[in-house]
Amino acid sequence: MNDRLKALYQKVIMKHSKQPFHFEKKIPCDHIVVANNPVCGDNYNFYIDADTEKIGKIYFHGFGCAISKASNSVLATLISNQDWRDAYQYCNAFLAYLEHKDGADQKPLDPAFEAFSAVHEFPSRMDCATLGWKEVKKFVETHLKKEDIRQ
Amino acid sequence: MIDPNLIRSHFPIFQHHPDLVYFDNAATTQRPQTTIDAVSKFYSQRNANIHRGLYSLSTDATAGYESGREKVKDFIGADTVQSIAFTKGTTESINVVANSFLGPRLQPGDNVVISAMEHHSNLIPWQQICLQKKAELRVIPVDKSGELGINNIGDFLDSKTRMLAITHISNTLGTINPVERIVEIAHKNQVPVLIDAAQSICLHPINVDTLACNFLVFSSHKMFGPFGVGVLYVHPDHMEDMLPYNYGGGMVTHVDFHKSSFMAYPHNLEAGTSAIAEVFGLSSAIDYLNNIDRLEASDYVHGLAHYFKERLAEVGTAVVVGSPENCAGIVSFLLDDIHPHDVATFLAEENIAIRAGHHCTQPLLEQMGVKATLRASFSIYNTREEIDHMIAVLKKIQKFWA
Repeated sequence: MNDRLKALYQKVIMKHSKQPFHFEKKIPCDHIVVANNPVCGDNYNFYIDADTEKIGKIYFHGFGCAISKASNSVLATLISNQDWRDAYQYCNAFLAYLEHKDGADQKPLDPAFEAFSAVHEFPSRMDCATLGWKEVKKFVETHLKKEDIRQ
Repeated sequence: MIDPNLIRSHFPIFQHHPDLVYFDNAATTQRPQTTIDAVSKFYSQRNANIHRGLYSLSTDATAGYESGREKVKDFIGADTVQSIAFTKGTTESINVVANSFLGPRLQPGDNVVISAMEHHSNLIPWQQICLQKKAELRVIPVDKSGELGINNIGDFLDSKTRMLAITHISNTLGTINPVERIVEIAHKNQVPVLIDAAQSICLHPINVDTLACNFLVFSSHKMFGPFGVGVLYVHPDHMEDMLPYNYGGGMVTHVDFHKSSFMAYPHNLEAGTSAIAEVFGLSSAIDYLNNIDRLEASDYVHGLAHYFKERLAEVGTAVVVGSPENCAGIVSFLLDDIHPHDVATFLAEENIAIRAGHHCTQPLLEQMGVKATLRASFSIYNTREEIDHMIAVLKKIQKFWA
């Protein structure tokens, strides 16, 4: 296997994809967020408990490649038990890190992001790594907007 | 004898990418230099809009475009050139039949029959027109091997069946359907048949006269021709029933502010400016195909698929999805429980181009009990050595994943 592939499928990703964190259909829960990519058929549900202050535990389940499963596993690890604004910041930071928004040598907000640094070299796999994060970000954003209106 | 190396030399993509192993022919084939030259020659030497010009460049472009129609007619053995309409491709051709032919005659309680192995493009147009008209869409199932129960097809047809739309070759499983027999059964029940020849038109000689289908649809880009143009063949019995699909210039006989009258089929379907250069390219692709023995060519490609399946058996727990007895050069498979996208990414790094996903046949894969597959689809420029190379890489992937 060449170095590019080794960088993409590094041990952290293989480990997360083979033993994903909180990989189960956790029903009942407060919210279900669907992450579906009709182009490739990847399809995940996030099972999220949350109150007005913070997000509780996040579980996820579904079908997709190693990259998407590992990325969602890291999401469940990092976003569980965050308050809403921190969760939003994490989602933004992960997406910005993968998309090289602040340049290729930006520092990741969390060391766990680094496992996905090579995804940028594989544009066709970008959606795999970002799909879950984008959908959860939308969900968090919707909550924050409602909060802002209420205040 | 098919000489894949000689054929390779006709396709410039392989000079630009000498290491490319192109196994994605079901998505689109590569093009020979002659097709590319035909398009480029039209633009550089004959470019003008067709049908309305009074100067020689335009009349010459018109003649070339219409001779493309003639060439398609001969290629599929149609009786008359009037049967041939140019569309954007297979998808548009099917939409035209669903909306311009079937729509106006479909009544609540009628039904349309398709098979479970249809590409989304030969499913959704029928599904939507049935929903609009409160008609029923009936689906002939596939068995575990990926075949239709041919003897049961008659059970799906009755006096309310207004169309049977079926693919010649499954783009996912490679199943070759016995279309002659299917047309016969449908016609016994007075049901018109549309054959989706997208996957078969390139290497399987088709004669609409002996096949006796009512509609035949295919795309140029899957038969060594350019993107952006396709064909709709309509049997002379139905030509008068084909209503306009798009409205605009070039398809009218008279227009005033409050009403218009339209040309007859096929010109009533060709509103606006057609893909003229692409028709020149398609015409040249047909010349290319006419210069090879297509029976030999399809045998050669089926042989590659067979060889690939044999060699795949060596790769541990790799599984072929579907095992139709009569199979074209398309093989869907899985490598252990590794997701197809991961496998395809590894293969891509070795310059092996194959497709991973649902191949626009989600309901079929659901029936087969899988969500996505890897799909290798072969053509006449592929070789056994390329397959050997892919098998070696698949073994490496398996080792990495273990």
